[in-house]
Amino acid sequence: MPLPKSDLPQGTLDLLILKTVALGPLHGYGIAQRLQLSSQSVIRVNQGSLYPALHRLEKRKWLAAEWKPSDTGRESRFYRLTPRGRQAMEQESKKWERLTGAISTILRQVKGGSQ
Amino acid sequence: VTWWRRLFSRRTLDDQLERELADHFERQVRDDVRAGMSEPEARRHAAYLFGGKEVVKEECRDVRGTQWVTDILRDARQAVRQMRKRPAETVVATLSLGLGIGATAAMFSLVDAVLLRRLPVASPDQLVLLGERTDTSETSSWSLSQFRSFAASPSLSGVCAFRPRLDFGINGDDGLNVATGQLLSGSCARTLGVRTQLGRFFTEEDDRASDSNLVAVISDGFWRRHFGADPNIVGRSLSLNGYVVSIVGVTWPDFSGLEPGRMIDVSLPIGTQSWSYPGRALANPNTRWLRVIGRLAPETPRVRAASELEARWAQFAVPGSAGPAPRRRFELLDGAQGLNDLRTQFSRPLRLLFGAAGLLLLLVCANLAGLTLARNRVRVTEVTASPWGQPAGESFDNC
Repeated sequence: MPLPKSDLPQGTLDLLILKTVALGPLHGYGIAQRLQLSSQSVIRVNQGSLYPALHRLEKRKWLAAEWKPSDTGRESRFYRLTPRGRQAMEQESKKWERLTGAISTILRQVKGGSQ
Repeated sequence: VTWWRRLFSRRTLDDQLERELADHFERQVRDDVRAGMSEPEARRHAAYLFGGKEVVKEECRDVRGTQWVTDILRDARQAVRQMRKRPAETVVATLSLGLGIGATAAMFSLVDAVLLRRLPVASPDQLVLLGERTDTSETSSWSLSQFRSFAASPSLSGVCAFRPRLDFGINGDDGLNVATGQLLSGSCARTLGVRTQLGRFFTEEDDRASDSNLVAVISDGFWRRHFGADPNIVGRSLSLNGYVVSIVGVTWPDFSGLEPGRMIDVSLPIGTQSWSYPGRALANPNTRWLRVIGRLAPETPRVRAASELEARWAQFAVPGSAGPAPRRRFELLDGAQGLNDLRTQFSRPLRLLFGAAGLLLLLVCANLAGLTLARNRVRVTEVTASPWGQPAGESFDNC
């Protein structure tokens, strides 16, 4: 099963990560799994994009990371949304909804026009 | 975590990154095993999904913004290692680079002192040098009475007369020595804005000094060299050509006289010329032995000052000479850089020498480049032996 680099538009991965983590602290693997599940396998994030993005968000203080014992018996690095991250997430998702709304409106119009 | 913390705790951060990725890997394996794969199969599959672990790590490190420091350090270590391996080449390279840079720097300090630097006085732009030119010669020397006429000009807020380049024999504790000196009129301190770090500069009073009350101002360098920076220097005496003068002040280190490129040890008032610059009839209005530098009065354009000073100059008696008098012109020169004798004399040779020194440095660089190129042909095997994606000097771990 080949895994191409995610075809997500620039900046979307950050938003998706923030949304996923907003439900509760989660480790990197869990984030990837949850993204795949809730998108019904449409979105697959590979490690090469996921971990740099996580570290970038952590550096921006949108996420905070902590080592905690987990179900595997080892410690895992859990990411948690910070208040600043929540703010950024709300802004980003508004922007995203406006953009996708506009795009789908255009797509509908073009479709209607061709018929 | 600040940038510095990220830089200095990069070992810990690297360990954590390693652990985090390993955790991800193990979880993938566990889930695959649960889904029915055998353990080795699951590991292969997880490794396949993972792609290049080192690449992932590298990208995570880049996020920290400290990677470039680490890279530079690694390169420096690599460079030192290479230099240790070939000491002969290192010595040759260091010496020739040192020679090239040293020659260029030395030439530049000369060019800077003689051609570029302006007098270390207050607003040097307002200074003008008074001169005269005929078709065949030029001079900036004037007689005492001519200086007095210029000094009375309203276009100049101050006029300083000086005689550069006098050497004195000094009799010190360390035997007979030579001190470089100059004569300055009492108006110089005010005109140039020269200050003293100890004592005072001389004034117009000192111009009329009698032989019993001789004063001198010494430079910072001379004070340190000859008097061991004695804080009680003011009032001490100094023997110049057998005449005993009393030291009244020490100038700041930046003041070195009015001629760029020449350091002055001792300054005397022009009133001492009967013994400090003897053998000439200096009171004679036709004996021109003083250089004159003036400061433009505020709000006075240079052109207006020039024409006003030229009118004064036109009244000077021309010494009687047989035959037609040569055509003469008055000149108001830029005085910001002080006396221009050295500049006119050495401008071309200095530029040439500076160019030559630059060329030498270029040659050195070309030689070293050739040397490095030749050496790197030998190193080709060494470089290709490093595995792909694995920077030299980093440990190689398989996952």
